[in-house]
Amino acid sequence: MKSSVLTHKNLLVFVLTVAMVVSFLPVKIARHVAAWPRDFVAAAIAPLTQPLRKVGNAIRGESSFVQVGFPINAQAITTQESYLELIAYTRQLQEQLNQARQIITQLGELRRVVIDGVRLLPAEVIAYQSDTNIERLTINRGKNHGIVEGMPVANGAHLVGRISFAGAKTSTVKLITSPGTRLVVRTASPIMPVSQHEALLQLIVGHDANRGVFVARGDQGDPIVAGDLAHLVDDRWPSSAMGLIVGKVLSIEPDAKTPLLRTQVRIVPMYPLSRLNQVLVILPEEVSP
Amino acid sequence: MRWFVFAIVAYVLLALQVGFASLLTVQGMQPSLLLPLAVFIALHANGRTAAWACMLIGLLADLETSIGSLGAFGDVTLIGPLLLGYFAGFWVVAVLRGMVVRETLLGHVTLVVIAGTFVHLVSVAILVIRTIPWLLNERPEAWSASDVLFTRFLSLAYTAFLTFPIGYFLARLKPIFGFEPTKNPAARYGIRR
Repeated sequence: MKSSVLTHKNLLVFVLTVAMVVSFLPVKIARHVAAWPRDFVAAAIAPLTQPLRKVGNAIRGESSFVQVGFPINAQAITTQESYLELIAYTRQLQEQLNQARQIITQLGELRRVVIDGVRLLPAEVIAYQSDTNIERLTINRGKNHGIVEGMPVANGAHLVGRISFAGAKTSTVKLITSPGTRLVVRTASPIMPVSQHEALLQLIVGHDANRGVFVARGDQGDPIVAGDLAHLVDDRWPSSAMGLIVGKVLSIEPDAKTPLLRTQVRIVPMYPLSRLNQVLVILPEEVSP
Repeated sequence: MRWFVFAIVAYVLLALQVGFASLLTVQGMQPSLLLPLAVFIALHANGRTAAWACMLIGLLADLETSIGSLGAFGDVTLIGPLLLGYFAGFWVVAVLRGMVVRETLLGHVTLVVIAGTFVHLVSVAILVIRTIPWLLNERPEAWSASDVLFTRFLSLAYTAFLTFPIGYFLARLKPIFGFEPTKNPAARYGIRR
């Protein structure tokens, strides 16, 4: 009696061995192995995660659609079905109109800041994930739409992050609030043009209690006040991202170690980046899908 | 076990976990909605089915997890750490399931905590081995094994809390899963009692 090699136990051992080998592949190869399945799973769950995110944001009090209430007339029973269909259709149109308005507003804000020679690609956020050392959003645009890793992502005139992974249909945006992010910014009053301010700070995002807050050390006498906006001037980022708003100065306190000489400046993004529903990817003009 | 039912439930739980991430995240702790499903399958299905199901869940968890930035790569996903971790979790449940009352939520929650501990220990151990200088020498930015373990164990406690409602619904869905009666599945893998 022949014993078959393809037993269940052998198959299980084979799969576990392959998993062990793949776990220890160099990152250049491991990324390629995981790229297609990752993109496939993100695209597969997108139809469900997108509306769930909106529901989650609505529960937190940031609704992205307008709730319209129509009284149902008990006497109009014969036309109730078509009436309810019309209500549902009207709500759908209003939601689409609100989304279009948001995109137009974002484009308008961004055009005041970003230089010419770029294309702006609107994208819907389909997921948010947070780990100990990275915060990221997944968007429903990928290489098929011209996206490449490293491209900056904005929401209006506010910097959101950079494309850290580009699949065929989805991409991942590493948020600027990820721990360890370092940005060079210039502060400016909200009512004055950026070019008129001189203070230059290097920012570091803090961990734990300061999660999501940018902390920098300035000098006593710096022309910075709470409420100033911090604009990106970091040359490690593409030029198309220069001038985008990183956040708002929350407080300026004496530095714990050298209170007479230095200050600790805390800057927070103006909107919670984890709850964004739409973003704009800044593409070079010559890139085509 | 009916695999299409498992696929639908896994899909819905993964979508809930990812879709409600910003709502469920508390101080950087995100619960795993797939871990209670993996333990539920390991509790009720026969060993062979449970092993494959847990590995599939581990694969999904790997694809939804990023280890962070590595060098020039902004966002790295690895296949393997959580797949192997979930297999270790299945193994532990297979050994221990005779000691708990499977039909109770408390038994389910207890095994989620124990299995989850092994899931995270195995997956973090693999990531730590990757940082060994003479091996791969790849340490993600702002990554620390102790930080990761601490956060994951806190997330595990959060997951255990959410296992009460999830376990309740899974128990209601048990007839639909169509589990086969089990004898001693642990014996198939050389575990003697």
